[in-house]
Amino acid sequence: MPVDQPTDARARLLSHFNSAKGSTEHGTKWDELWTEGFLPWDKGFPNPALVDLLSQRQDILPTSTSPNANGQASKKKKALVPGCGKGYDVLLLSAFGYDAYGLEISSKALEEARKVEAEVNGKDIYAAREGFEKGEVHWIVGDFFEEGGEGILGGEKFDLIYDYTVSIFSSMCSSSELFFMLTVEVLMCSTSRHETSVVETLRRSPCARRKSRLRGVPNIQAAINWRASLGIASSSVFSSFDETGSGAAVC
Amino acid sequence: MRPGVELPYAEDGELLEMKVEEPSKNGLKRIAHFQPERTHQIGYDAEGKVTDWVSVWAHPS
Repeated sequence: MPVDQPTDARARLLSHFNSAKGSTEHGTKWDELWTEGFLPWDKGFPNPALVDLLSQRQDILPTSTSPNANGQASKKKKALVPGCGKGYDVLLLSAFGYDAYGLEISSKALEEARKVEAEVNGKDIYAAREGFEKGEVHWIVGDFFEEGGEGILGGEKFDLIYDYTVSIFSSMCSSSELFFMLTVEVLMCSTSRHETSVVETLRRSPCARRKSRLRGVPNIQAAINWRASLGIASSSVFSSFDETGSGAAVC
Repeated sequence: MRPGVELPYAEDGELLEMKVEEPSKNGLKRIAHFQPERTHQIGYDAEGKVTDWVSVWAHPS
């Protein structure tokens, strides 16, 4: 299998985001890339690892149920994909019966996602999988890490959150998996109003395990504060990343 | 996980695992962790070996 050549694209992404401070500026930077069409992370299809997980490991995932012979209606689970890009994984999750929500900081990205949806949703790999009724697809513009972001998700609660972490951020201001896991943890802990929250995944994450990195995360307290007021019941997270950090690259 | 609990770190940034409390009952628990058979191309090294990891976290039922 040919291997991606990440160096040039990665260097360009790093320099593109280098001057941006905070999530608002990062959002602008993402929008610029979408407008320009420089999308080295966009592979045009869902992550094969997610395809396999959804097809083979339903035993460890919250799964939707189809209408049964007794006339019982289907019970749909809700899935969220923060930073969904063109939304291939969102469409895939809907094929596995989830009402799937794609969240993107870039509205331009979601314009593209809607085009992809119009073109391919319900077809081929995005057709309802055996035993599942096709779920709804929703697109939401917003920043997963923004303070006050509960408005963005409208108080929705999710059963499954999917993240394919791109480790470009580990060499920027923070570890994206730290950010992600922390956010999810607090999102799911409705009664928690703690001052500090640190997730266990940090232990083996090279950049996150340095405490200086934690101190350097700008929005961490904001994320904790507002997410503490949100509850997500019986949720699962699927996160795929290079645990050693050694081979991690964005494109 | 241990939401809300500060983890003890040594000066060199290593987590002091001996001093870490028991995981919170409310916290997410990693219920699966493995390398997938297939992933996006970026998740392979030059020899074609998968470098990505899949983790599934869930609240204890």
